[in-house]
Amino acid sequence: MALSIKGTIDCNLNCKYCYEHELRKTQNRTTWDISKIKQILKKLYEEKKEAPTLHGGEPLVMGKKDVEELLKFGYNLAGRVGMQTNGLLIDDDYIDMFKKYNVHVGISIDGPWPLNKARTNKENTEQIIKNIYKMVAKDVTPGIIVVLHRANGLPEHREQLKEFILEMKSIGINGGRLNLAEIDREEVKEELELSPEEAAELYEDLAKFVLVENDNLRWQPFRDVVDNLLGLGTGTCVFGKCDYFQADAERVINGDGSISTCYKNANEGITYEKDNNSRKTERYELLKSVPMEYGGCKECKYWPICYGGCPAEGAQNGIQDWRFRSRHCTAYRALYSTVEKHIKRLLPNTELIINRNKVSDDDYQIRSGNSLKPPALHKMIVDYVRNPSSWRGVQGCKNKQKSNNKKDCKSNNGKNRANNTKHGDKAHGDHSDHGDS
Amino acid sequence: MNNQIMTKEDLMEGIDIFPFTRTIWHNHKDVELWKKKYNMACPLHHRAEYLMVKQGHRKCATTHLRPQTFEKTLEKIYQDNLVWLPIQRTKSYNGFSHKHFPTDGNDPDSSVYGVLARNLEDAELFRSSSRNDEGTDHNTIGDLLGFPSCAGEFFNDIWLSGFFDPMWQQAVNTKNAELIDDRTVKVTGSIYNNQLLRYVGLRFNSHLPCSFNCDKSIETGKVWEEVGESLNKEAAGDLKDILRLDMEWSCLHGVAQIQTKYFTIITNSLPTKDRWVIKYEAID
Repeated sequence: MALSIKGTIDCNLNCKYCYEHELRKTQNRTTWDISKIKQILKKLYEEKKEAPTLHGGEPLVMGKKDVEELLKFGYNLAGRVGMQTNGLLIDDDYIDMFKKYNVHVGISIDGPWPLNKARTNKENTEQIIKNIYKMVAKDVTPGIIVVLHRANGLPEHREQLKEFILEMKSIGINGGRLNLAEIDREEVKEELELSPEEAAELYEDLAKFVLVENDNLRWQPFRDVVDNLLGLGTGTCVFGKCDYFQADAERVINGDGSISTCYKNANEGITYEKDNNSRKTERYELLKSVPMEYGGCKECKYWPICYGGCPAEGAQNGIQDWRFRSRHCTAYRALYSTVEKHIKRLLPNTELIINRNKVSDDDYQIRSGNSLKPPALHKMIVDYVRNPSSWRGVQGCKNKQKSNNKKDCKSNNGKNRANNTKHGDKAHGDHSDHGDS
Repeated sequence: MNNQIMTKEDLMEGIDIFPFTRTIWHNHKDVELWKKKYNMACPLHHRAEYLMVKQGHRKCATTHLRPQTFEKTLEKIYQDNLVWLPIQRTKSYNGFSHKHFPTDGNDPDSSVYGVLARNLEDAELFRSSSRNDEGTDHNTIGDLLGFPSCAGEFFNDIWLSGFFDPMWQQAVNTKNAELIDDRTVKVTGSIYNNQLLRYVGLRFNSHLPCSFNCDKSIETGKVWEEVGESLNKEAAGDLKDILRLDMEWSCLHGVAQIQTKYFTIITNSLPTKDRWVIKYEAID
């Protein structure tokens, strides 16, 4: 859940794939009313105590005076503030503000030149990277959002993209997001939109790079995919249930003080008023019933941890519509499949959420602590089985899922293990003919 | 025009979204004005249904008697010298439904669907036509409800074939309809025949016209307008303003979406495999 302030949708760059292009044509958002924004921010903050994030457009085009006023106000309310910026206008004054008001900054950049060319030119790209270094030097460590497309996501870009990720890690930036571009403008689709197969290859490769081949990388959505498969819940709205028109994941305060929802659905130049009373389940009623060949998710094993992806990404055969599953389905399935294989290779006794016969779909979103019971690693925990193992066949307790019986299972554990294990507690290391003891 | 026919092959089986309607307002500087118009106009048709019978413009109307207002409604019907006969108890639902959900008297979440008429004879005829052993007699029902004969034929031809939300069929029947692609049609039509917002009650006619420019339906629509004006002239004007808006109706996977400049409505509809689109421009 996020509370965003979009004081302006103006921007000093002109990212070709920006989902706010149409909005800039239909709505005059070049002015803003700081006092109204503050008034609404206070009201919304009181409701859910979420720290606000300055977003846009580009928030820094509002100018130092107004940016500081909003940062200060947000800081006094919540003790911290977020900001998503393209980073071009960041200077010492802004960095001082970031420190003073505990601002968590996200920089939107698609890699070094020329990977960033869908956003801006070489000079600007180099300046943004200099600004990142300048922030880090002053102990303000930003996160990064990279949008993936044909200008940075094809195999020929891979080495430079990975080098960028490692370069960021070398200065202390371990993570951020690697998001597939949601391109709605026909005029740039051909130039920038990855095909489903290209996107799948890219996500498979980056999943291995982030999760397997390197230490301490925390890029999303890869980390969330692991958590999702283990039934731990997700921090990524893309894989949760979200209403296209009301987007629980985000409340937006517009420059005129009005309140709307996530702008990812603004590709037709419309934003929607926030209305907490609306019904929000239609997409999920229909998608789980509609066969995949018609753009639904029927019988997809990843349904409980994907739900057809972000509704604003909904598309089939070039037709964009929230009633279709995500246009990135092929990539998401490839990503889940890759991560699933890696987890199962390392820990064959893991019981992933997709391996359960029945996962409740009633919850609005699978959440940590109330979803996978017993937990994914239960075959490795003595509370649940007599012979816990990450890979050996396990001998289960008859009543292992009942909490009161867990106790019985646990209390008998030592005895049972001794009685039922031919070779005692330790598996032999000198031969391999009885690995499943 | 070169009609693009929607066939049963275009629908999916086993998908039946439970009735609902949602109105989502856009961030627009004039939105408060349109919310006011909407709130004024939405109840008008329902109120006019009753008056259309009382004033003799039609013999019958269908109406639900709800437990919460049962005694008040019956008292009013009695005082107005009208009659009402029950036909079926049906499960309650929010929004717009294309069918009834039969239930019994033990279901507290239900209402009774029935017929309102000026005399018992018409009410009995309506009820027996609804419960005919050989199936429902839609022609007789259409006559009693005051539907033009062409609308009855359209209903028998299209609705009874399983196309319970036949907006596409109405659009492609319209003389000036222009097919933009296989499943997108542009149509200019009378506000009196515009049923694209009926899911929230925004309509003049109560029937489904055979086309957006059907003259007979325009005639009956004007009668509905007069009756509506007699109830609340401002609300009738607001209804006209709303029905004059350019709008786009689309249907996909059992959900219809109707988008205007100021609001979007979504509701349950035909379970189509692909998206079908009507781009509507109004004429008075």
